[in-house]
Amino acid sequence: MIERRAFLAVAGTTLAGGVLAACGSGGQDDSNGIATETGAEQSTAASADVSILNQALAVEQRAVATYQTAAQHLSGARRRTAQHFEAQERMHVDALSQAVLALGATPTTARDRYALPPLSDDDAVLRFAMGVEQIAVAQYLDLIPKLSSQNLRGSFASILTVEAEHLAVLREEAGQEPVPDAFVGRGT
Amino acid sequence: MAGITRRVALRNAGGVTLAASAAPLLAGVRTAFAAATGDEETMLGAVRLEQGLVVAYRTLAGSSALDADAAALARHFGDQEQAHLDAVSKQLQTLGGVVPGEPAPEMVKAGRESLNALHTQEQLLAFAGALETNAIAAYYEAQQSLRRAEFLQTTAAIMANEGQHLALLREALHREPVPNAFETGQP
Repeated sequence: MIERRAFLAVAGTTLAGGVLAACGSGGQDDSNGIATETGAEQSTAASADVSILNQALAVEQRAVATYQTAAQHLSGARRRTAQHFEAQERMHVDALSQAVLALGATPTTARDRYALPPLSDDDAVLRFAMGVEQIAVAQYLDLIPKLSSQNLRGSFASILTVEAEHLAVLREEAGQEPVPDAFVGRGT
Repeated sequence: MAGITRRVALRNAGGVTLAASAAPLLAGVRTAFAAATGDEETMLGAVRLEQGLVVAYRTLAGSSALDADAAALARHFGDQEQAHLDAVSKQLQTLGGVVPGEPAPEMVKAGRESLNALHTQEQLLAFAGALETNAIAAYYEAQQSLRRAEFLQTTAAIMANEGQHLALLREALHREPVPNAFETGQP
């Protein structure tokens, strides 16, 4: 029997604990929130999922760098928001990285530097962060149906939802309509 | 084994939102999602879920307990829920499914409370937040059971929009808008 390990999302949440407990001893990882799935599922599908996980990981690494930069340019409550969002993006990075490792593959590494637009004021910083979040939302919507793992689809949707929430908060901060579309990702 | 694991995951996920106190309607929807054996059943659950949200926001928007800003928020979110309902109804019908009738307002409940028992803006917004949380949990489950790509994308886009609603409702209730790095519908 081929043992297949799959990311189940939710590092650091109570749900992870519940799922980990429910998975039994045959297929679980450590306490980092990565639950595992044992079964005769195929390495081809797992390999495709690794590629998708690494695509998502690259998006998240970019988001971490974005909020690091944003926090350096912002102050007060906006800085705290950027730091809060950065911490959440780091949790996404950690969970995705561990999922790749659990599948026996190597997580993609973050770049040393990311291209930055001119960030002359708060509005520019907010626009930049919104752009990164819009790309993340579009990526997750594209990737979810391509995943072979049902658990991973749920996990990606849970991250997608958080990125959409970030986007709403940023839009509001920028004085825009925070939730302009009934379907996230359309028209953005 | 994968199927067993998924069922275990769904059972765990199903216990984390409104739990034992969940309303008849929404609890039924959650159960329908978890027990769904095919896309038609899951999309029927989505239709019922969106119907409940449409009715709830319509009721909120018409309530004299809400101030102008909160009423406008309820109208806006209600319009978006109607768009969701239209989309999932259409997808259900492509599978030969039949869209059920809209629930009466008193049938839309969160926890022990029904809409008509709530009297303050804070109570009504918290009620909407509980419904949104429940919706996210249901769509989280749906992502793990749906098979057709177009249904996965539609429901994922809706789930994320419900998360945005929830973030703004939390703000309106003076709470942290994005408290969790992973939004799975836990209260």
